[in-house]
Amino acid sequence: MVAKSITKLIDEAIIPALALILAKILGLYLAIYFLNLPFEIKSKGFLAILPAVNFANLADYTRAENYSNLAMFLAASAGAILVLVRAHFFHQSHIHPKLQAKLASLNLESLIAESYHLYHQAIIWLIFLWLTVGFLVTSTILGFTYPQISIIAFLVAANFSWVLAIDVEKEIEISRESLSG
Amino acid sequence: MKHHPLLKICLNFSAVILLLALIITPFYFAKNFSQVAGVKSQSPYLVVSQVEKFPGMTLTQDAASFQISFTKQGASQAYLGVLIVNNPTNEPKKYSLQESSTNNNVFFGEDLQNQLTQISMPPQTSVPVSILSSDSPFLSQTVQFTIQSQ
Repeated sequence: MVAKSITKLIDEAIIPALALILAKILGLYLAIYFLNLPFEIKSKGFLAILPAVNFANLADYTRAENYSNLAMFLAASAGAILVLVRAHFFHQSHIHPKLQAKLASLNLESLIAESYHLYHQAIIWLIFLWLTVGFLVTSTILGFTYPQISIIAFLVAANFSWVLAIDVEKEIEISRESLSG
Repeated sequence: MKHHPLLKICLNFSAVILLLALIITPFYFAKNFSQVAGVKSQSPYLVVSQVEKFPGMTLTQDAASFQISFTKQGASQAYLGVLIVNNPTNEPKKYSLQESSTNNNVFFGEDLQNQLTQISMPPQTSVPVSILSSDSPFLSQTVQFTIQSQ
């Protein structure tokens, strides 16, 4: 009853959402540990039930935010890279026959994915990547994030989008050839 | 098995809402998980001095107690807007002036016909404080008053 695409997108969005949350938590704790930032855990800090990490002053908060947001962006980038590599090299429609044979011999054919699965994954990871860029840019405007991080994030996201666009273009050409042929 | 179109629409709409919630959740979490400790106490009012506009006028402040000294040019003289009182909070506040001198009136606003010693201020607004020095043979005057908030 629910459109297949929407169900698939929901399915694919769970892991990236969890990855970003875990990356944020990990980034925050690593920043606190390595930078020796004083903090306290405030129970019921947000949403009236979840704890929040409180920093004593704005400078500490800004430093922790920068590193934790960077960790979150790296997690989004890592996910996007995995999907893009899979789309380019392990795409069922245009995988190199030698590579396919090698994967078959190593019993790793599960790495090969079809377009439906890959492009839904790619859309979700790129949405998360661009939203992370938007989050970083907003933080920069509000003065909590260093501008360099936002600029680099934007460039990375733009490049990844371009790489996916190339793969989509290749896919369209293959579909055209198979239709005309 | 035929499905009611309205049911299909509702389910798809709910699915989209769920997807949007899944996408927004990490960023909402990222924004709110770490915070700066809030200011423990907030001042009920802020005072901005304007005494430098009046030659020979000086201001001394000790907590909520203010002392303004000035030299009059005439028997009865008004000094309008010597201080500005701000309500920096997010709720309406009532302020009152208690003065200890007899020859001088301290009041909110700049209307000599309506000398208010109590005022209710909306949030994020300000009101001037003025002095009316009535008939007094002494040219040098000192007025002491306190600002209370309720």
